[in-house]
Formats: sequence, C-alpha cells, structure tokens
Amino acid sequence: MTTTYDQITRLAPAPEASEPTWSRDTLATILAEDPAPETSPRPWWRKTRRRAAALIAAGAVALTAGTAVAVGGPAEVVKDALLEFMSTPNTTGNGLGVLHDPQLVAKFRTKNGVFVFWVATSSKGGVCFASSNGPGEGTELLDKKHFAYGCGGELVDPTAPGGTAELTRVDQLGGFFKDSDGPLIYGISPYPDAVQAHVQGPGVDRTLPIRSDSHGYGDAIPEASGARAVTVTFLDDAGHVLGSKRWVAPVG
Amino acid sequence: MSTTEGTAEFTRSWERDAPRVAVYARRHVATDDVHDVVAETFLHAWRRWDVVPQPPIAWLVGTARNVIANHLRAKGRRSALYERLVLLDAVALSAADAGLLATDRMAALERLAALPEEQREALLLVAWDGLTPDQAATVLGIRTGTLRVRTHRARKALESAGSNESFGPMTVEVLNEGGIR
Repeated sequence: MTTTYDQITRLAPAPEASEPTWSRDTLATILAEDPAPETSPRPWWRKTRRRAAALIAAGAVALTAGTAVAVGGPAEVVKDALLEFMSTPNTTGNGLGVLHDPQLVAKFRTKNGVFVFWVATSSKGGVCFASSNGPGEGTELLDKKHFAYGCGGELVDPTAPGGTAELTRVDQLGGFFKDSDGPLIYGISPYPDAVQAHVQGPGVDRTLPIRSDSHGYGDAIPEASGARAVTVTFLDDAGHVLGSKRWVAPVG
Repeated sequence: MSTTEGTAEFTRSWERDAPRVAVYARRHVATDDVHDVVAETFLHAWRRWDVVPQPPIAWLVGTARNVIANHLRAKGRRSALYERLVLLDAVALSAADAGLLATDRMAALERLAALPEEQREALLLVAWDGLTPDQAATVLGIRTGTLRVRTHRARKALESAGSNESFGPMTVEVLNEGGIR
C-alpha cells in the first residue's frame, strides 16, 4: 500500500539549472562585492560566562557607549547608539533601513546589578539590540564594560559546535543563563497574544509577565541554580497554552 | 584559502547549489521572488565564504530560510493554507512524472499543506531537499532528535486520512538559540 508519505517523496521537485543569463549576471554581481574577510561583519558575540565579554568586539562591529551617553532617556540613548552603529561602515548594522523605536524587553535586578535588554527592529527586517549590566538602575548605560549593542550578525548555533546562525528574528534573542550573576532568563515571546511566560524546571516554577509592547519577559531566577534547562510555556490572557520553548543553559 | 581558490569554490557552489536553494525558495515565495531569495542567500554566503561550512548546502538553505522569513515579515503576513497549497502544487512534480493519479497527488499536497509549518519544513528538508537529518536539523536550528520527532509526527499526521484533528502547540527545543548575554 502506498502511503501519503511515499506519494510525497515521489513528488519531490527536481532542481532545474538556473537560467543562464540570470545565473551569469547574478554571479558576477555577487563576486563584484568585496568579501573583505578582514573587515566584513563577523560573529560578534559568543556564549560566555563573563557578561562583559558577551559581545565580541570585532573591529567596529560592537561599539561602546562613549558617545551615546547623556542623550535623553534610555530609549533615546539606545536609539542613538544603534543609529551610530548602523552608520558605521562594514558592520552588521549596514543596510537595515530605518530603525524603529527601541523597546524594553526586560529589566531586572541580578546578584551584581541590574540587567536591561532592549530590542529594535528596522524597516528592512533588521534586528538590533542593546544590553546594559550595571550597578545602577540599568538605565544609565554607564560605560563600555556594562553596555553592548549591535545589529544582525550571527548567533551561537546550538546544533553545531562553534557554528553560528543568522539573527533574523527578535524571538531568537535571549535564553537561560547561569553565570556570575546567578541564574537568569529573558527572551521575547514568539506568540504575540502571549501575556504570561511560565518558567518551569528543577527548582523553578514561576510565571513571568510578558510585556505588551516588546513581548519581552525576564527575571533573575536564583531558585533555578540546580537546573540545567528550563521550559518556558507561553499563555494567552485566557490561560491557554500557545506554545513552549526549552532553554538549555550554555556550558563553559 | 586564497581569494582565487575561494572564488572558484564559491562559483562551483553557485552552479551546484543555487538550483537546490531555488527549489527550496519556490515552495515558500512567489515565483517572482525566487531569484531575489537565491541571490540574497548567496550574497550572504559570499560575504562570509571563509567561515561557511563545507559542503555549504545546509548553511545555504538555512540562510535562504532566514531570507524568506525576512521577506514574509516585510510583507507583514504568513502564508495561508490556500497559498501554501498553491506554492506546493507549483513546485511538486506533475502527477505523470511522479506516477500518481492527479487526484492522489492533490490529496497528498493538501495534507502536506495542512501540516503545521515546523513539521512540514522538517519533512520536506529531508524528503524534497535531499538533506540528511543532521543537515536539516542545522537548517532549523534544532537538534537532530527533535527533527526526527517532527518528521515522525508529520508522517503520522499525513496518514491520518480525512482527519480533522487539530495540531496542538509544539515544544521547540532550543539550546539558547540566542546565546547572547
């Protein structure tokens, strides 16, 4: 008996050779671009136990807050910083179009200060972020040790040791982290209707509110010190489960 | 790798892999947009060619997936069931070439279109795009085991003929996909 799956495998499309003129012209256009391995955008952060090293400053790809401080409120500071970044040549911030206003994803106190994470999208689908980790209230974006920002780039690829994945969606950002600041979690719900994020794992059973603007959530979860991973379940305002995501704390 | 070697290798990949990336794109976007997706995917590859894993097909399809996601996001919508069916119908082999009755072909495609996206993607990356489970998992940013679960569920759902079952929320296994602190 032929199964539906068998039928579907028989329907597999055969790749067709590209149209010669288009193929030749497009290849020439691409090769005319300077691959510039020394200056092109590079992976600009790695998982790390050290917060200050969370972003890898690759040339001009990750900037510090120097010129960004002292310009209005935190959202304006973040926006100015990201705009500066986007205008810096040969960075992952180039070509993203118009930057939308940054939105606060999460802000919470950790063992060593206040962690703040902002996200901003752009008119061309770019994803930018800024994070602050300082002893103040998290809005000062004090100095380069506590403030990092960037756009696009590549994420640590969970499936390939040393590999990376392109950052294209805001809900790719975040995770469950256990480092010198103690266990913490933050992220952005992939479900627009979600209002609560239920965090469960060994030692932790907590419901976090989801912001209505950024759909962000986050908090320190010291009770999860024994957890290797946690599951976040997204609920709508009627308590219905919309989906879930499992975060595994990075090792090393 | 010298620039000359890199260029030659990239050119070979373009000739060999662009048609496969196009096939992938054709089931997600309108025909008019397929060339744009392929070109943008390979432009990303060229800019990072020194770090693109070899063979590059999984990386290319994964990047195409992101390019398409951006494309759909820019249009502010996700494809509806009917639109998915139209795209699948356009890209799948004809009934004659596949040795199927036209009615069986359309019924199979309808069931395929009705699958949850993550199950359909997992299934087709292997069944249509010819990727290994490891490669398909890389494309989707999930573990190979998770991919196998998704394909298993997809096959099970496909065989539930005439089923009106709804598909519940799925658990997505992510190892700190963001990885950013």
